[in-house]
Amino acid sequence: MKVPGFEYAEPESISECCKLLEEQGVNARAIAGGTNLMMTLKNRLKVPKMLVDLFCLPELNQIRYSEEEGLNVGALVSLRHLAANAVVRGKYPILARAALDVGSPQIQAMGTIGGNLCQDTCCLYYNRPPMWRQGLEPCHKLGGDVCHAIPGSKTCWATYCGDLAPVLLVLRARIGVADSKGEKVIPLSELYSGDGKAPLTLQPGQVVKEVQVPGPSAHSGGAYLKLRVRKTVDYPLLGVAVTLALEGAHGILKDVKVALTGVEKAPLLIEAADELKGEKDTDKVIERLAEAAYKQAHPINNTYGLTPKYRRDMVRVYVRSAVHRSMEAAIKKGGVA
Amino acid sequence: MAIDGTGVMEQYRLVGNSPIRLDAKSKVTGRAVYIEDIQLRGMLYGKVLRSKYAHARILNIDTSRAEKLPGVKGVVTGADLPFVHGEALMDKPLLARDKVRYLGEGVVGVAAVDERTAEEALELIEVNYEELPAVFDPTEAAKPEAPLIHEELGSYHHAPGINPIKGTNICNHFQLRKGDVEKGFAESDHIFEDTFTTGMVHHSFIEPHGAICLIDDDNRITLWANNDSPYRCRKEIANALNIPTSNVRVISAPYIGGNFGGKGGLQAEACAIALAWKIRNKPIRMMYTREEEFCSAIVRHPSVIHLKTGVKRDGTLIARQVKMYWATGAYAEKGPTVCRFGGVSGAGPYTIPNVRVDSYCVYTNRQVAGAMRGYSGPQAAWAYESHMDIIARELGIDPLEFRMNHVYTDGDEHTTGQEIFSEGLKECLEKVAKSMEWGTKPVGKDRGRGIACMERAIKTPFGSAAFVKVNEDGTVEVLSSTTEVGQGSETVLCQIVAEELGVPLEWVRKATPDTAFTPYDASTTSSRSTFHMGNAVKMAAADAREQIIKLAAESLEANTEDLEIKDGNVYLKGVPEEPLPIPRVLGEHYGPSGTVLGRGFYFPEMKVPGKYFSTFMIFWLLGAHGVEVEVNRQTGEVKVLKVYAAHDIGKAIHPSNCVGMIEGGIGFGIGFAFFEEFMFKGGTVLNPSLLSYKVPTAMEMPETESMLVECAHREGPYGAKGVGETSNVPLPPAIANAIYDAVGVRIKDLPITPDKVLDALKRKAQGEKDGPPQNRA
Amino acid sequence: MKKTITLHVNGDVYELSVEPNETLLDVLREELALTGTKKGCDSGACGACTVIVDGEPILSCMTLAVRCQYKEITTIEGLAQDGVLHPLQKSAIERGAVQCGFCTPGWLLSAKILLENNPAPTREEVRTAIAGNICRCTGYKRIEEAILAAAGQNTE
Repeated sequence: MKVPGFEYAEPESISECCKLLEEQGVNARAIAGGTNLMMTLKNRLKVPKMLVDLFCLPELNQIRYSEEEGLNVGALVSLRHLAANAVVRGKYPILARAALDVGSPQIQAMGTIGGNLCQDTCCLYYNRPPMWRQGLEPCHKLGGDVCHAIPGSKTCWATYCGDLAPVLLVLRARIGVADSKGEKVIPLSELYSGDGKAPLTLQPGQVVKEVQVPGPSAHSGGAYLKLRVRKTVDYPLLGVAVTLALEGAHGILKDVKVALTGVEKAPLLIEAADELKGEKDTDKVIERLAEAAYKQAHPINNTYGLTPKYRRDMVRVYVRSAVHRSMEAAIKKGGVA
Repeated sequence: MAIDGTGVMEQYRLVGNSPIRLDAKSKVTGRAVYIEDIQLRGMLYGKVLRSKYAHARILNIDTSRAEKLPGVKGVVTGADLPFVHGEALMDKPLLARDKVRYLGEGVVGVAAVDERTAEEALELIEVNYEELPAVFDPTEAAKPEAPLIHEELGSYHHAPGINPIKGTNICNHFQLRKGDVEKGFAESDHIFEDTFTTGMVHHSFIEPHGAICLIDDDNRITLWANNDSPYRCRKEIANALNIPTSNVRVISAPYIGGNFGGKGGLQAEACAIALAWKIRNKPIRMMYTREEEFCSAIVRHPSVIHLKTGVKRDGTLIARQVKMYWATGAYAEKGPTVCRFGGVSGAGPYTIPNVRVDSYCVYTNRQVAGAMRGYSGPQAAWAYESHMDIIARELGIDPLEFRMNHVYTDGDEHTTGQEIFSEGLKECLEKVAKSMEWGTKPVGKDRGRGIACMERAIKTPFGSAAFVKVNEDGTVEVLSSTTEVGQGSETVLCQIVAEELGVPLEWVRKATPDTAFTPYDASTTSSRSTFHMGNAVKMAAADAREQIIKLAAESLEANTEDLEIKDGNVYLKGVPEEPLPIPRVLGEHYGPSGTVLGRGFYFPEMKVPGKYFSTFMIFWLLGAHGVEVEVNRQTGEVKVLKVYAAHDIGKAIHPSNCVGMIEGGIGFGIGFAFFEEFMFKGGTVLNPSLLSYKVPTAMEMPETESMLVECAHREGPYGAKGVGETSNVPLPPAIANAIYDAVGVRIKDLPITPDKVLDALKRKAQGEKDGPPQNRA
Repeated sequence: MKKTITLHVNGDVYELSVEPNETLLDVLREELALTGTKKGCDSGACGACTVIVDGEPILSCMTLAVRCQYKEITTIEGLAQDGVLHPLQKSAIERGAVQCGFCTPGWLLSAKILLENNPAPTREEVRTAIAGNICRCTGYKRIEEAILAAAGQNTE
């Protein structure tokens, strides 16, 4: 299907970009790598009158690192470059891993870290071309008032399927958000509204400018495990990200964070994780995390293959496995379990 | 040097070698021309508005706004087109008339100056429908009380041997009877009954369907298309429009980007013809989108297959009853003959004294099912090979031994009554067993091994013709209507011609099929080309050779039997130092007109019941696969460690290409076994994209070992048979059998997804806690 | 509104007037007649339209042509230099890695990027590099072998 017509804007500065987007409101969309937006356009899911090209802002395509500040990744850094960056590979291996788990190599070359974080929610009933949507009543996300995935639901259950968000959540990332008035830095979790229909909290004129990740803790390890039908290309049917840090000397759990993707309307940071700080009994940690994650996850029947029940069962299995792997990684780095 | 199946030492220059494919260079440089690369002056672009209901009456269509859109050159609806088409059963309009029978059916066509305008015009068309009750499940649709999808089924014209049941949704009922099954069951010690199902899957060739149609004021039609079979396509068009065959010229695209059975019949062709019928004297192009590929082209038949088998205590098969339901969707397409082939092979490649097969081709309100790599083979083998394994394991007989005890060999009688000849199935099983060290190699924890074999019919009796033109300079053109869809026929046919004629391969080129020039061929389907067209070009090349030798004999004042052609020269046998180049032979006789035309027509002359899809076959496609798997008990995921595949190809003309066909077939089998399936909500396809419909990527492919069994066919060119279609057939049941071997659970519905395996493992654990399952025997 | 852009394709410079909503794929095929780049799904899921833009393997069906201003684009037509086949093309031919040929241009360009960045890849790395190029004919084995052979790796 052809992309519908639009006006193409090439802003010269981030402030001009934000101003344009603010003025145009819902009529304009910012385009970064375009891997998500192009299909949105081709499928006429959104028909903006203007596209504002973020690639005109090369200052957003940089990776910086310092011991004090940690990692700073411009929103336009491609997933391919992110994964290839020596600092990212060395100090944030799960971020590099997750970037390589996104789509295909081509999608990684085109897609950006900012775009990936701002990826729209997905649903089999929604992500289809217009002619093939005709057979069903318009759903909430299309401006109607039904949900085909959960009949009777008053809200949209489209699922958040980004791979980087859970990883950056457990890495305690913050994002720099620019608007016409300036910039602010917010925790990544605040980017997500939890609304399947409008999954981001960004207002018109706001643009994710950069991602800030604090330096890795000593004796820490992490893992990102992704469930999908094929070993590549596919969105996660479940993604589990874990980071944990051990007290070097006595192996006590200093910190653990678990986040999920693909099973809710937003990426999920598992709440119980904070209560487990200082816990010595590894098995107990693992079981409590697995249980807490299982309770919070609500995969639904809106994606290809694998029943929601199976995907929810896999939350336990994947969390256990991801925590195990994180522990192994932490021990390798000098932590004692 | 090669030893053929009869043990005779034969020497071929080219046959049995694997020269570089003749199409490869143009394909790696991007110069190969496919249908979408063809642009004609003044060409218009077509788009089709499609039904949004699975079953509905069309009340009215308003195209007035679309017609007024600048750039729109015409709009066509079913009302403009009083035609129906269909190879086996003429039931399908070019665009829906009066009612729509599936969601995705073409309703209105628009032609415009560009695709964008045509797309925009579709949005301006309004169609009012009255929704009708729809039926989706083939067993439900076969019931007498089901809503009727074709009220006029009884009046449709159909090919001989097709048996539609008036007043039902059954558009073919095929029956096969041998012995007395009831008596057989009574004599059996054990009775096994199982039901197997398969879902809807798609060819997913990377090139979509496309066609360009030009119709002039005198109803003369030129169609450029990526259709697999120009002559079959032409006949279907001429029959549908009720015009003389010679009025229709079908020109194949030079190359076709994948077929697997999916590019037969009239798909995009129907849309282009519909538009061109109304808008005359303009070439009109119709390219399918990927969504149309999934929703509006053709698919593999979903199936429900019941098997009931009676066995003696010692494991001897006594009786088998098979009931098969083939969901052919809204129109028959190739369904009636898929159902027929499925029925012919329903009991498997086994000698069983009592067999009863009932195979039903059933309309449903879903996507139209047709030919897809295996043409009923994958579904039938999924059922009978899983079933065979269940029986063997319950009786405590080695599954390989159980098969070896029953597979037919030369001289046996097939279930259909045909005598079996030139058949190498046992050898396929033996080769697989040997290379996977069946029964001896230890397997690890949660690992298992499975084996499965198969037969599939080859459409018989159908003919193929060819011309071989020898040019003034000795170069050769092969005029054959076999299309190059990726299978490598272009190379194989040229190899045969070069071999037979005695010229270098580089001198030989194959022409692009064009019904105005290249002679008749039934179809590029059914793995028939190497055998049928191979024979035709071989005969044509031999004819040309004899003509050249005759001319040379006159020049040399020699006897024809003393002459031979080698490397493009005529020689007196045993006098290699005096070559007479072919151009000289021709020039000496005909001067500047020095050319020769050889002619070949192959038609399997055998005593077959019926002249359309007989139940007797000129050869059977046979093969066996062995598989090693590892099952993850925590996640239900199955990892295929290795696939061992042996296929009886008669004689490998181009062995590398044969192995390529097998490796590709394994890819297909992996997809069918594990990933591929349409998802529906009612009549709506939920996953009409290559992102949501899961075709295997490179990451999904297991290690493979391909083996060629060369059991020469007495009538095949150099003994060759075919291989393309069937290499995907035995894999899914071999995998299911290996999973059972690994963890003791049996999956009977494809695809085998981790959730199904995990669920089965849980139920098994539960069952073991509850006590042993009841003996089913 | 049409926009005038300059594209550098296979060493040639083209000045074109394009609508902002035209994809690079359509511009390459329809405007520049570079039909070696194939339209398989037009939705970013098959890889047949892969081209190289500024050293990156990208999907031309998911790329707006206006955004390729001044970028260096390599399509399959630019892989052979002065009529000499690229080693990947040569090994694809020799190893029987081509059947219907429709996915071939795409994976060849993915492989080119791989070998430029990793001249001696493992089979697993080859698989990963072509994971976004769907081939329905070959089962991928010959493709992998062709790429390994072009890299001078032993494929036995």
